Amino acid sequence: MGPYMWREIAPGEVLKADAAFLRGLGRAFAGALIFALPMLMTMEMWWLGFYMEPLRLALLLALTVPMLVGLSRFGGMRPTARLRDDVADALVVLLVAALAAAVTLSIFGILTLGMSAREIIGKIVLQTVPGSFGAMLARSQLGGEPERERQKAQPTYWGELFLMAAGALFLSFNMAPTEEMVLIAYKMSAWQSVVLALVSLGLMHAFVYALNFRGGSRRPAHVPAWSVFVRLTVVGYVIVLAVSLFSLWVFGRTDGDGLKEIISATIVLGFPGAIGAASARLLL
Amino acid sequence: MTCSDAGGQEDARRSQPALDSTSPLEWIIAAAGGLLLVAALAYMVVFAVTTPERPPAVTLSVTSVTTTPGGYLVSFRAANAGGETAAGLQVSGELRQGETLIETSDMSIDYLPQRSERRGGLFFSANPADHQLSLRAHGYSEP
Repeated sequence: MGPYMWREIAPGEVLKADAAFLRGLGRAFAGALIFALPMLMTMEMWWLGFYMEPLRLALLLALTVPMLVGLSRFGGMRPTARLRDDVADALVVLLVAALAAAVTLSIFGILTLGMSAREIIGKIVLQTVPGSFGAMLARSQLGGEPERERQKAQPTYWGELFLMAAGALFLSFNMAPTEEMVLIAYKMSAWQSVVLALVSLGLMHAFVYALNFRGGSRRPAHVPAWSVFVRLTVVGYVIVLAVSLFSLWVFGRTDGDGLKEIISATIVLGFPGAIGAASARLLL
Repeated sequence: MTCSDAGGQEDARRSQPALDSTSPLEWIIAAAGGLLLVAALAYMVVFAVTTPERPPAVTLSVTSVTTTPGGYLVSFRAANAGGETAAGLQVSGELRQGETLIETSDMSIDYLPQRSERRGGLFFSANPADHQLSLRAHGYSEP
């Protein structure tokens, strides 16, 4: 906060900015609730809060911060001018999400006295991750300001890949903690896994590049279709699988499983992940 | 937070300053968020490094015996002093008169996290006050 700001901005403007910020906080809180409620009301998420390996939980939380900063760049609570504003937004959103999780879990009776600090902190931290995503997206989802005011740059190729990763993480986070991911993997034969992988790939391609959704990319005429498929869909699906594997590992779902089961579970979780990645440009 | 004047003016030109740059209030809240983030990370890392992988150590203690229409209810508290979570913890209670077993009752606790406690109860048809009551944890699985 350089002193120059106080010279350039009249006090009235500062108050207006504060009012806008407080409205943004309210929206962020709503976003955290909307996006995290399914997970706040999932037993596995409560249990993972205490039996998850603490180092993996710390890694997950640490990785959330650059993810939020990136999301703030491309969407976020408000149009931001500088990177440090994005960092500020990311930290604010983390606080809001932690608060939303703590309040909701306490009301549900999931957090009570007699629980260890490790259990309480673990439960809140785990819920903070999806909540902060939701809070960050709240502006683009629930924001009232017209699009033209947002001077967000069209994402570059790397930005596009980042958005895919964020979309995949967001959707797979909903499913990865549940027992069903591993159960579905057990039920599927190797052939069914192959089919699911192909279907995911096809859907992903169709979602954004063939169909013309609002916000979806239109392929420039001079770029051949196979180039888009290889550069975006295939690379995107590889990112989706990496995100799926990471989510499964973070939640301890790969521990002690054989290679075949791990691959199969990764493909299963990659299915929602692929949908999330493909729709990231539409959502975020 | 230092910023050169040239940079500040450039930023101000590039965007609507009042809405786009971070207000002092937001910085305060961001600082609180950052503090919370660092604290949570530090706690998890310190916990991981300093807590040895000790198996669950379960102690059961009776908190009350009450009469209910379904029989006598023995309420108890299960505390886990170990370093790992016990899943599906099997708990049973026995009423004995000397060497003779009068009655047994079983229940299970879904999860008993490390360094935490859970409460539960066992029903008996005989009055526990007339006999020797003992509670025992039988087994668990790793989550």
